[in-house]
Amino acid sequence: MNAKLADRIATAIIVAVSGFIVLLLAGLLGYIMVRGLGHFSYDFLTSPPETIRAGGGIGPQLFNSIFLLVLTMLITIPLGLGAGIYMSEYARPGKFTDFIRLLVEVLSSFPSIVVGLFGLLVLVNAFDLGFSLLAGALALTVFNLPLMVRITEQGLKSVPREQKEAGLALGLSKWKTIRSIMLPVAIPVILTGTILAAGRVFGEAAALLFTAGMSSPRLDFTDWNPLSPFSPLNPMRPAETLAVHIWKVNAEGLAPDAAEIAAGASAVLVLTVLLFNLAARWLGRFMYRKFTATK
Amino acid sequence: MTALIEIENLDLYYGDFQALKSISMDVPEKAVTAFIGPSGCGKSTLLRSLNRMNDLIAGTRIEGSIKIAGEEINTSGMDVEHLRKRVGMVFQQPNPFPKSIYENVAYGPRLYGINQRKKLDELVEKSLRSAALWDEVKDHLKRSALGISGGQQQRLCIARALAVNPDVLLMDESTSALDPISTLKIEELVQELKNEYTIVMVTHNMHQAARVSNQTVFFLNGEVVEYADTETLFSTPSDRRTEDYISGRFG
Repeated sequence: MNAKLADRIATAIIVAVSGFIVLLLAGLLGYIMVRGLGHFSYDFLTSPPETIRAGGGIGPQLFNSIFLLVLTMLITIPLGLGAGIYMSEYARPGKFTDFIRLLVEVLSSFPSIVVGLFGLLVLVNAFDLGFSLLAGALALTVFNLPLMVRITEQGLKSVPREQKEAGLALGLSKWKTIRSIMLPVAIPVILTGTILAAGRVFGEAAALLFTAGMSSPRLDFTDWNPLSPFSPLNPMRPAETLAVHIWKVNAEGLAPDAAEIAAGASAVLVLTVLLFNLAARWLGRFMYRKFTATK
Repeated sequence: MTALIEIENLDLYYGDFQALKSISMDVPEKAVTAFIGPSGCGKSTLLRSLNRMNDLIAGTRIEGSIKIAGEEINTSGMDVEHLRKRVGMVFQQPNPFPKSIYENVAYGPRLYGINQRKKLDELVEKSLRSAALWDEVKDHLKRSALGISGGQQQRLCIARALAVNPDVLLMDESTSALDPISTLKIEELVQELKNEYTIVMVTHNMHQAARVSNQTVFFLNGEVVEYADTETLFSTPSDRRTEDYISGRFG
């Protein structure tokens, strides 16, 4: 077989494989959208669910998902940034550092149901947090953290060594160089990764079943005092997220329109994650331009 | 000429490898001193010892003395950040910060407490003029430093180093990544700058050393083979190895 023919065959195979993947994704997305979009309405997005009757919405679940995401990120971002900066700039290369890196890798490949059970035993029971948003956020932190550490580390490693040296040679301290030279360059990468991680949090169900719980109290959207038990902002209340709701409605929903609700909620979930991804790209580019003054 | 930098019995090791072997020399003030020699001879290593950039490489051990303006810099108590303010550096690859042209130059002064807009403007202009770049960039100071040519970027890096008012400027093969015209501009610039700054340059290009420098040091395998006035070293070298190198027999 001559080289030209081999090249053509390889190209054809690669094009076919990627075409197949694109088709598969488009089909999946199309199916979810077509089934779900018909159910969209302002009412569906804002009203609480119904147990027996038709016409329930996903309002509290949507709010829970977003709130849980914010809580998780509030915990994950500072920890992840700190550990990532340490791993990239301060840790001396050696067996110990490699060991930490291995642990981080292992942590990131934990099955989420295991993280959920860990959350139930440690957070919900031993720490007595109960089924709560806080327990959910901490459980999600467990498997979001490795991602965040890796993203930060990669972001900092992607900064050209020359620029780091330029900062140091100008008399900047190590921390100042990291903070004002390296982090701005790394931020687009870190930000994009963070938003993608956020998308994962948004779609997570298994780790939340036993931590954030499968029910939501009747929320009073006029009460914004985080200490009051019916306030949407109370981090100690149980909270069913959108992904958990989809699972629950499909598994044990009694409402006559359970299938439609699940389809609608799935579409909302997918759309939100899609928005996250688009926002990640846009924001990453925007920040890069802003920090580097490029057009 | 008075010596600004005095190096005495300097040994430097990377792990087990001895990169510099008992170097002793003086670098005169307000003049250009060129380090020449084949790759791996230790010239860049010595240059980077002068602002303690070798500290960044794990496993580096240094013995002996380097005094700058009479002050020993190889002590654990040395304020390395302050040292690097006094000893500026320009690298092989132009490495402007990914910020605007203005911000690149204003960065150092701002760090050292100059915040008034007017003062900064003046300083930026002065530094860019000293680096012979002002006329080319004065109308678009807000543009990204990454958008100008390599030669301009390198002169911007010189301006950035000058903006913190150093005594010494180290140039680590600073023209080797540039085209001949940009190289010439920087060589001319160095001629100007030596009236105010002590310049130490590492170069691969012997002709450059001959054109630009007042003193030339020839390195081989971590040792100083010969150190003399540039004219003397190139016309009547006293060591056979120097002669072989400058006549192109090796290296």
